Amino acid sequence: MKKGILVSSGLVFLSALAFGQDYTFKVLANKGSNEIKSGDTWQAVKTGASLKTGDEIKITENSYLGLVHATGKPMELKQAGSYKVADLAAKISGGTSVLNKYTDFILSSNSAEAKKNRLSATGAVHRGLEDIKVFLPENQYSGIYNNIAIINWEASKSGGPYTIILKNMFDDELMKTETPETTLQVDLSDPKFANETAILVEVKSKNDSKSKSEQHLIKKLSQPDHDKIKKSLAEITGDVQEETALNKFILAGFYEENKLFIDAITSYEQAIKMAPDVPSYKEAYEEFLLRNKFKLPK
Amino acid sequence: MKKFWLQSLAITVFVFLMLWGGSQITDFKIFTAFDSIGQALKDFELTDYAFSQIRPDPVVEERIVLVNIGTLSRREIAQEIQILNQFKPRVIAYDGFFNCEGGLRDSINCPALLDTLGNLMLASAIHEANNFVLGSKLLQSDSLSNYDVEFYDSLEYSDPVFTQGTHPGFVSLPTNATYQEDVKQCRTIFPQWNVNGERQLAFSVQVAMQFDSVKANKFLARNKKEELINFRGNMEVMQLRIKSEKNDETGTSNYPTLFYTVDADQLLRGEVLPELFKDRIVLLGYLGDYLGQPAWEDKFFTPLNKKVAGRANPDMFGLVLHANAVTMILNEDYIDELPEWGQNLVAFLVCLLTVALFILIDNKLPAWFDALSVVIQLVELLLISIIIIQAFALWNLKLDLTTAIGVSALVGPSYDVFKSFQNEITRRLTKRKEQVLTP
Repeated sequence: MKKGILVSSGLVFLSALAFGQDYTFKVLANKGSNEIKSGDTWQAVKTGASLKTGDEIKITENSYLGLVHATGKPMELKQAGSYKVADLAAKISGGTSVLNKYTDFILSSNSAEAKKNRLSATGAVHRGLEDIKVFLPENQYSGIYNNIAIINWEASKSGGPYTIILKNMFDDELMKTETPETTLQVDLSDPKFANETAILVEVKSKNDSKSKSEQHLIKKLSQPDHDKIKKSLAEITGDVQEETALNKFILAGFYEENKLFIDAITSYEQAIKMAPDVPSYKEAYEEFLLRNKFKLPK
Repeated sequence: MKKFWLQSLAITVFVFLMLWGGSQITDFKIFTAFDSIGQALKDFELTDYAFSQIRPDPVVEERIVLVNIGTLSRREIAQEIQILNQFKPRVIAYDGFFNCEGGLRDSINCPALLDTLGNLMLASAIHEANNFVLGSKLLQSDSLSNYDVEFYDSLEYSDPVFTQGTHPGFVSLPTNATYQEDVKQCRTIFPQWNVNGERQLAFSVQVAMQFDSVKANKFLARNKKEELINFRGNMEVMQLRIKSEKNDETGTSNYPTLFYTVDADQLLRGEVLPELFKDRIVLLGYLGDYLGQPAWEDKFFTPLNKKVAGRANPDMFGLVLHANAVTMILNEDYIDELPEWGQNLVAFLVCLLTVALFILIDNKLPAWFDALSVVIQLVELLLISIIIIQAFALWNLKLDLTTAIGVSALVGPSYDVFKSFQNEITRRLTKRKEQVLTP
């Protein structure tokens, strides 16, 4: 009985030590568009952020989150899905003794050689099955400041019409539309997208089911980032307030400098639409696409 | 009794002679061309098992933040440093150089010079930092490089516009590589090196010196030419697009991410919290074009690699390697080694006691000698291996018991050879029964 009380007291003391800090986990490393729900709002995960017991984390596809527990123990999350911080904290164990590790090592050393699936790697390089090339940036540069996104694509083999599918991070379809063109304008202020911070875009050929694009991400900027861009933009909007092709062209440069490539594309498209007879906008747009590797030189 | 121990001593000396003879023969390298196992295990050490598999779980090092520079230009690195300066870290250290290798300064070989404004921005950002450690490189002068010697008499620095007001730390690491892109294995650092009468500190030591000079000086007071790095953890972010692969063990080491890590674009976009950097050490360097890229540039094989021998993927970026060395210095968590006389003493005692046991068995249970001697040798080799691994895992003590292992392996055959010689000599020196005159 006495022993039981001592053990319980010890555990309570250790928990108090661990949780005496005002966080359960801290973000050690973050890759992808992961989000954290603290209170009622979802917000983008930032490296160094603290996670409390009541919080929830959302890991998106092809993402990674490294965490450090209040006790100093690390934890990694690679599988997409939602995780409750309290559940993750419960998984942090007291650690394995050297003797146990030694036994595990001896017992497991043979199994590593018994790998049955020996065809995980190929003698080839990946250039994608997809013959539709969407002019959108890689995921790490997928931020968008404005509400309008113009999505363009190029199909090497298949022709139109095309089906464009927009999904949220949980693969729920938000919009599906068809067009014979190779461009689509999406308004992110539409109620369908109002509650989404990240949207996945895929373009398919309607006639050829094998012909499709890679999945691309469009991510709304977080409020602080949005405010920061707004502030920088305010410094130049005095000069470019008027809706002219030249001003759109200047704005494209501003967005590119801030790595907001989707906004830059939209501005270039708008500039070309406003002044279709001016070849320099088209040339600059082409150079922009090549420079940022959206398009490969022919 | 005296005769018993004299006999044991004589056989022990014979075993050591056999070992010495064997090592002399292998020095001729006549078998090396066909020695595929020896070549595969050339870089293997038993303590690697302890490093990679059975040490107590390390905790995260919270004093260090790694920041990736990816493929950023000098202008963008300047932006990174400017942002970091605002967050007031105690030390910023750049694991690299801002010069053009080989001193070539034309626009073809050194296009970075074309961005004059970017270079000025970078110089200004570096000067604004409180404590900036900049990488340098130990080199051999042309005349010295004609000889294969471990001696360095010159240094490569960044261009003078960047070095002003910074603390140099050489980023050169002892490896078996011939050039930067070669396969690199690293276990140690040179804490300091005397170049033309001036003491130069290693990058990690210089970083630790700027953060906590007491601990750095304590480390230097050990006065060892080469120090083993007490590797604790790695930084491994992997991006796997195929879902089924995420269930597999794809990391190259068992302790994947033990440092705060920020990617280049995350810092530039402000996707970090300022308090993450305050009063901490920020190590800037290359961790792939982006976090998660399976790049091999500036990547090393370390004892943390899951595969301890043979062909494997390199597991650790150079920047993380320096971070491990800094952690060791700040934690005063050094690795001690058994001195050479200690290694020889252990080998001698192991051999002497084994021989004594063999003599006992030979006298009392001659019919069982062959079987028992082999079993004893196997048990002895296993025990020594376990002791080496456990001493390292538990006490950070690296026992180099190669000689003890060698004599344990040789003691059985050597005993037989010695006994055969001894019997033959005794037979020749002793008169046969029929030759002895009897009354």
